Amino acid sequence: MKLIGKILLAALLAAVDAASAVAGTPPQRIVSINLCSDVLALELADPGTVKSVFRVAADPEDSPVADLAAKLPLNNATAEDILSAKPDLVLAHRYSSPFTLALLARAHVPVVQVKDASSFEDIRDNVRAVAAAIGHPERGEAWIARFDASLAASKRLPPAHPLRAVIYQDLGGAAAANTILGALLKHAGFENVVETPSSGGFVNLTIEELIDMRPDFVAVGVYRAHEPSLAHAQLAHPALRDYVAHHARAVDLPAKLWTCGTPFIADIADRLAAARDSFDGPKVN
Amino acid sequence: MELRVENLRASLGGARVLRRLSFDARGPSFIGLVGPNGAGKTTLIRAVANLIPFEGEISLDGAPVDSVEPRARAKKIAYLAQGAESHWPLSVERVVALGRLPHLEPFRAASPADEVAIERAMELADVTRFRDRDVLTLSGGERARVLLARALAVEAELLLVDEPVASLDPYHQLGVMEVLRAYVDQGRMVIAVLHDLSLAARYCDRLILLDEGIIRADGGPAEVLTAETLRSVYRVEALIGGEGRGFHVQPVKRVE
Amino acid sequence: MRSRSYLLINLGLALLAAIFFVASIYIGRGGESLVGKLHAIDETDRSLAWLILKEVRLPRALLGLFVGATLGLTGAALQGLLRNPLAEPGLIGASSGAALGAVLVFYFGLAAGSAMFVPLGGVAGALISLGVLYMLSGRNPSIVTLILAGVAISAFTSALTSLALSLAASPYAVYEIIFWLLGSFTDRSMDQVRFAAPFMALGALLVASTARGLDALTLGEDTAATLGFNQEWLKARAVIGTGLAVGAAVSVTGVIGFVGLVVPHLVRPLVGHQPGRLLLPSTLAGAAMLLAADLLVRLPMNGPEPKLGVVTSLIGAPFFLWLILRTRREAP
Repeated sequence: MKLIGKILLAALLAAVDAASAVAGTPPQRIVSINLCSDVLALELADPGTVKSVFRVAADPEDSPVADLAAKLPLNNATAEDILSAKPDLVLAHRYSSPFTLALLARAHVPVVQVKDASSFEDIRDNVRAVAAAIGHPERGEAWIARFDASLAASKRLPPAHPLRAVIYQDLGGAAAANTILGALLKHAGFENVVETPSSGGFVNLTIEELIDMRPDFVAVGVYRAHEPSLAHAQLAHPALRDYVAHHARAVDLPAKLWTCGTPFIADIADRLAAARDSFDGPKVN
Repeated sequence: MELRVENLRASLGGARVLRRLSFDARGPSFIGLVGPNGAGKTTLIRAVANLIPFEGEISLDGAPVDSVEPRARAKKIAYLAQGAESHWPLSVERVVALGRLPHLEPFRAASPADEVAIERAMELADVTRFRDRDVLTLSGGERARVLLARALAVEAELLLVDEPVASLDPYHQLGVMEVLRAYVDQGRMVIAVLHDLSLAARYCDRLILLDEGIIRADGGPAEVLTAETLRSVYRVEALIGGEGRGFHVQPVKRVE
Repeated sequence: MRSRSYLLINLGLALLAAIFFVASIYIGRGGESLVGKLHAIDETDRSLAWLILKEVRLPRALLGLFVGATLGLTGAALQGLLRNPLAEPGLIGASSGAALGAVLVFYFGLAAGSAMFVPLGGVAGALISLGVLYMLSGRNPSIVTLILAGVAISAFTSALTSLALSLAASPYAVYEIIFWLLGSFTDRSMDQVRFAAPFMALGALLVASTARGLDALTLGEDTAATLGFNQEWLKARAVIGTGLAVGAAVSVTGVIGFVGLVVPHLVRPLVGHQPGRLLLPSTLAGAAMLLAADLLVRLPMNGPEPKLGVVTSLIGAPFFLWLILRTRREAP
């Protein structure tokens, strides 16, 4: 068994070496194995150079660039999937499987990892990293400029009387301040009711605890709302509905715009800014 | 009280155990069912207790036992299985009280009549003095009397008991037989499967000798337990002697 | 005579359940009380306290009451029916079967109907598991046969539940395995109480109707039959009642293990071993115990609440081991 494995690996390695033989030119066979790097790669790379993306990248529920990924082969982020595409660049996430990354290192495939973005600066870093890796740093800077302009337009100052807000994700988690969603709340002039930072990014909040915090604004992170889950059932809880109807304003935030920290979260900022502005007028429900 | 058994046939696992068996009995009477192993004694009383399916007819005071409503039947026919045991460590009194279950009205606790019956049964079986003891901590002989008291407490007109004295020492064997005798003397009928022929002969009014699913002899103990029947049915030579309470059967040699 | 102390014990247990029920409504996370808020000066504060009381705390407390009662009752009844002190709806696979049924309806069948049908799935799953157990273990199952058959059914249905959840077209199904297999009352709503309660009530009535039959079974099936209890009918009521009650309970709260096992054992020293007499005090004690356990999971101030099934298993599993040891010692 071991011997066969070695032979197979050697064969794969030979194939990869042949593919990356042309040095100095921008990578022509990019494989991305995580949604967060998929989004950046598809936006920045020359058409045709991205050879494969992670399997959820083509799903419009998950991905803001589903249309760009529609015709691409999808991978499962396994070494076998990756190597068989003969990549000259692999884009991965900081949290991608270390076992997979170790195999890629043995195969001498260059890997660039994006980080878990919890601030606007992290997003800019990721864009720059991917843009540089694919050999088009100027495209990265242009995108960042557009992103910054959009953010500037949605920036709101906190009002004199603070507006308390919560971003409630359907699993029952509330976004902590040290997440990109927390940063967005602050950006739009809200005060996050979840004050404590959380290592996981989300703080478990029962409906009762949520109501106890008396948020003026409830942003609900919706993911695949039409598919059954206990999580969605919780969002339909009568107490939560009653609270939102009588004591708060609410807005839905589609998950595909925020599950990855990419410039697409500027859309979330726009929505939050619009919600923030609505507090200057009467409540319409 | 009249029990009629007519053309009774029953099978166990495909093998015919009882073949066209008929007899009548009127209470009060203490009937001993005797016969070699596999003769069908247990099957017979289980059929009368309606525990197994059978063909033919068994009726009590003219009513077929298999068409009577179970609770009504339970009030008329009590049954004490061989080697019956309590699965839970109940007090003696609670075990005996289980005999009153057929008499309880729905949603009602035991009536004074039930309490009296429980006391009477405990008295008769001589277990009153350990009424509060856990039945599982009693000796085998005491426990057998408690379970007998449970069956007595039903105060059924017909009591069926399967080998009530098996595994008891002579003292307790006599005790149990006396309890059954006393129960009959209150005007009821007892049908007991017995292996000890001397005890059967001494305490029973009538013996029914079964062999291979048919009745080979039926009548008073001295008529049934003859040297001839013992030889042909039990295949033993036996010493038979005494009269009344002194009647005894002593097997001495197998017939080749 | 003893009926008075029996009555007193039941009253005491009912009082205990009532106290925990009220505490369950008024005491929140970290032991914080709702009473002050209900009398707050600010009207919004008051109305929100009422909202929490009515829509969050009340359904949770009612579920604690009903599900605890269900588990206590069915545990006692199954032990009586099988004449086996190790029987319990969880150990014999009824609970995990119910979870499978509920999961199938919830994740795969809901498009067609509403949450109303989830308890039906739970009931069907529990009944099928009990049917399989009956076929596997035969008429007079030994302790070993019964436990092994139960373990096999539990393992199989739990695996199927996990498989179903991994195949489900639901974004969080995989995370939700933990709820279905470990149980929780957190954030259940009044609707769920309404859908499940009728099944629990019907099941409990069926099971309660077997009380005298279970007493008779103390002396074996033949004796019970000659005491006027139709064996098939008796078993059918106990098993179907258990399936209805446990199935509906699990469909709302997930699998909560060991309550049905522990409660009858705690009650026996008080009222004796007679199976029929155990039913009422086990029902009350089950409710009290589960309400108390649910208060316990609320005590840690920070972090997510521990799952209720974790707490009951943490207490119940060692108890179960101790029972096995004791049974081994007592066996000849």
